[in-house]
Amino acid sequence: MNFIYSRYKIPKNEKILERFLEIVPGSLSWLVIIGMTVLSFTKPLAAAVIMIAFILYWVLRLLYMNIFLTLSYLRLAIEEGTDWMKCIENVDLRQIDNGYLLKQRGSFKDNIKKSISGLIHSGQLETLKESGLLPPSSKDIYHLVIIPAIREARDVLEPGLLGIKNGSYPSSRVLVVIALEDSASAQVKADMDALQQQYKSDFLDCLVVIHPNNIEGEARVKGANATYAAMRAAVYFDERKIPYENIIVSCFDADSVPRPDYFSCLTYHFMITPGRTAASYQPIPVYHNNIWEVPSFARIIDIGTSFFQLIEATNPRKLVTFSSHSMSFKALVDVGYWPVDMVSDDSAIFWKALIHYEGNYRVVPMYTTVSMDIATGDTFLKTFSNIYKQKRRWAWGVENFPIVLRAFLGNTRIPLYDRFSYTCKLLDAFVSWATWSFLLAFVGWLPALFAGKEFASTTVYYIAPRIQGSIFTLASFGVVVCMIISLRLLPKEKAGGDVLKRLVHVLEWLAIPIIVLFLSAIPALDAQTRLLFGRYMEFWVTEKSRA
Amino acid sequence: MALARRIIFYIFVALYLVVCPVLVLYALGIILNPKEGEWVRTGLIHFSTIPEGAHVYLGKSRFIQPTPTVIQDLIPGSYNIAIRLKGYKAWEHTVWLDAGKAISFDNIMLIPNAWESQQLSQEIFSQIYPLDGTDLILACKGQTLGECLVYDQKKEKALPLLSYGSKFYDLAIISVYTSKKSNFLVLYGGSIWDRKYLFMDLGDDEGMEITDITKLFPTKPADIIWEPGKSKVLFAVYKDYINRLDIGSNVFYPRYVENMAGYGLYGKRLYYLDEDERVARLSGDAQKGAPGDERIFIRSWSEQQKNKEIMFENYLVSKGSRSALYNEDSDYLLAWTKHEIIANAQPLHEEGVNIEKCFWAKDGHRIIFKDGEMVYLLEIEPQGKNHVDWVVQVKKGSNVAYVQETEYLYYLSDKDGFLSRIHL
Repeated sequence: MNFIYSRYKIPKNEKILERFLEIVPGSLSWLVIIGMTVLSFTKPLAAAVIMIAFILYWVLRLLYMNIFLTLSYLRLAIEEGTDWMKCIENVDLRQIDNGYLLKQRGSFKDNIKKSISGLIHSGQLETLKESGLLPPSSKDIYHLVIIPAIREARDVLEPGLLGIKNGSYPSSRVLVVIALEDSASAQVKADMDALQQQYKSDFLDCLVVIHPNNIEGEARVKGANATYAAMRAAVYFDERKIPYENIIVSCFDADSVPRPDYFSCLTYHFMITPGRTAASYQPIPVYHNNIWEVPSFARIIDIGTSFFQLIEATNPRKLVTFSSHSMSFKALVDVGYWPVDMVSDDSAIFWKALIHYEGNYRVVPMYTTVSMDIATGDTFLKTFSNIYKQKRRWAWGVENFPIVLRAFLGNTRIPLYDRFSYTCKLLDAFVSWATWSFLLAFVGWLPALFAGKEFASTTVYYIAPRIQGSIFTLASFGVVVCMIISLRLLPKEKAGGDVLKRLVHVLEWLAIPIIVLFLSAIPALDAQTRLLFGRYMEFWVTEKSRA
Repeated sequence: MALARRIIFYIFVALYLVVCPVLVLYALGIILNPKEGEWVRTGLIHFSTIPEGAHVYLGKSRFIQPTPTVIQDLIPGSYNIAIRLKGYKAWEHTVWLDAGKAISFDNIMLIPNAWESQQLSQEIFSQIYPLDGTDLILACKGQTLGECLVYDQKKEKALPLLSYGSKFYDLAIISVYTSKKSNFLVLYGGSIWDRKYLFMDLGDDEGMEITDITKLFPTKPADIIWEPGKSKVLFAVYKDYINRLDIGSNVFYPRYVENMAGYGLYGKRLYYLDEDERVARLSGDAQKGAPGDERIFIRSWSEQQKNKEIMFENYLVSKGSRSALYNEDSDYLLAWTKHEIIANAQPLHEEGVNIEKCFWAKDGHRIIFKDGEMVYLLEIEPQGKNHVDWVVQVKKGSNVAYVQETEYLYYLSDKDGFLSRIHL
């Protein structure tokens, strides 16, 4: 479908529609917060009844998500020891050879894990064979890794490069492109050149592509830089006659450190997926690089992000790309690369592809991790401020809503159900993100706190707080699940055997309502309000440094 | 995973669709009556008591959960309630419970079988004059100033008001005027041919300062009140006008407010009703405001359209009331006549003999009142007849004082006239 995935350069009538749709998410969020507050004072009985219905919905959704968080974590744990290179070989051979599993004698727990993993992969291979859409041989598959940078020092990028070099997948099949902004300092440019020289021989190649400033039609966003680098890489592949269908592109943040099995896992998933060139591949983002060096609120909020992605991974039908991820290079070229005028390039590329392929595009979850830095600052307040800005930038993903909806309204070839369900998912995600914490922390208590005599003489006045109390007790079960998984997910090597450190981390979860309010709901409401008033955001580079 | 997700999703949807209406109905008090198989809308009653831990009886049924407690799922109707706790008198009440309604009996004060009285002095007094809102009580053994002591509740000791030889030592006391939360008082007394008005500061530790302000009173006023926030500026209230007296600068402003139909203090302002029955106020520096420009004073009860009757003290007097007290916690304006106590124009107690004084107690839902020689505790109930419990009998003709902060009632014992107190 020929659609301009941008809020700019569109016909006037579409501009009016676009502007109207920009107002929708923020208006709905404010309507919920203000409406419930007003209702709490004017019709407290109705407000209290609505809050009961809402809090019950919230706790059931929390428990529902807990189930999938647990299942997803278990799947991640199961796949932890998977030999992905062997899996790739199996796909090449079109048959599962589990003999090596039997030869490896492990503990009962390991054997169970391997058996489940083997079963899953057998099923995936069968599905692939049934589809008839067989993949190219693994020896013909190449990887392109784009790392945008602007002011990151050498030591921010280097762990990622080492991760690729030392991974289980042969790094000679990986083209690394450092996408550097022309506005970067001379020191950063020198650093990147040094990195290129040092690691060039370890990869298929290592390029440093300088993105010129002020290209017409571009905004100061990461997507513009990555797009410029991808176009340069396309020339590189063209010169070597490597077909785009055989290239997987991964766009990483400068601080991304993939797990050693990342590229083998990615190659396997690319090969095993029947519609592999119309798919993105989403790992689980974790923020372990500096997790023990940041304040507790920063740790909790980013573990929460990982949890959210773990939960989302269980629902591939509605999974949207986030942060560092991979996709078919063919798809990237087909859709016209990343948007060059949008901040949220990570999710925008999914929507752009979905619209381009008229609904026939999906995200394949991968149970491997990419580790990144938690945003920090020199002081506690600076860290808070940086995290706030980072979350607001993530929440600025709401900029996709009007564009996606505009595309949905103008394209009947995407099934109506898909358009409807994606719209509902987007609205639900953004409105709940911005409003739930307010409702739970403040608005829910208003009817009882400011009750007039009339409301105070009803049964609801007495029973509603007790029901809410019971529901919150039930919700604490969900927090306990988060505590346990959080402990298991955290990098043990960095915390060492420090039991106290881990115990304190468990207790940190008790502050989750406040942390979520200030570092999730308010930034989300901030972003939506900016869009509501047409105050568009530009990319703000998260501060990342190595101590 | 997709199938499992779908199954779990539908289970949760079903769970929500079942549990949500049940919870909402439960909150609204709607339950299924198992006997008749019909949905009925119930009510509930909430109890909390001072002290806690009392047992609640509904009819003959005793509830396991002691106070504070909520008894819910009660079919609409009449209930006989009793609350019992060892060492305290049974609290009994009859209520009518409507469907979907809640009745709250907050902080029911359980009355001990016998109040514990504490005697504070060995001396016999004939009268006490409490300075409301302070720690001081002027306690007098006889009619003259020389026979008076200043009792400090905090220090729990009494010192003579005047030293022997003071020129006012033998002055006979007729009336004492005090201001809330102030150590200042105006004393009216003396012989029939030599009446005096004395301005005194009881809180001055460095020696009592007595100012004779008799010349500022051409005739005896109906009342003396202090200008809010100014300890040495008084208003002498007469039948239809007010004089302003500045003790510090010894300046007298005759007929400062004229054609006045009523007056009252609220916050830091003196409000009055002019001859057209419009509300006006005196500003902070005692300048007259434009009539009708203030609505602060009547904010709480103007909607009842009865503000004039309960707002102004002397207007109430003309209706037979003796005084009035406002309580911000409960938003009640309390007024009393010889035989009845009224709050927000609703009668609370109509069987008084000679109600002289009322005090707000606890959270604005309890009133301590002196009726003749008896002191009672009245509890305002949300429904039904209010509870009135006898507390103590005091010396005939003597005043009582209740200090809300410490919850002590000060009085002179009925037989001997000892200064005593009871913790309520």
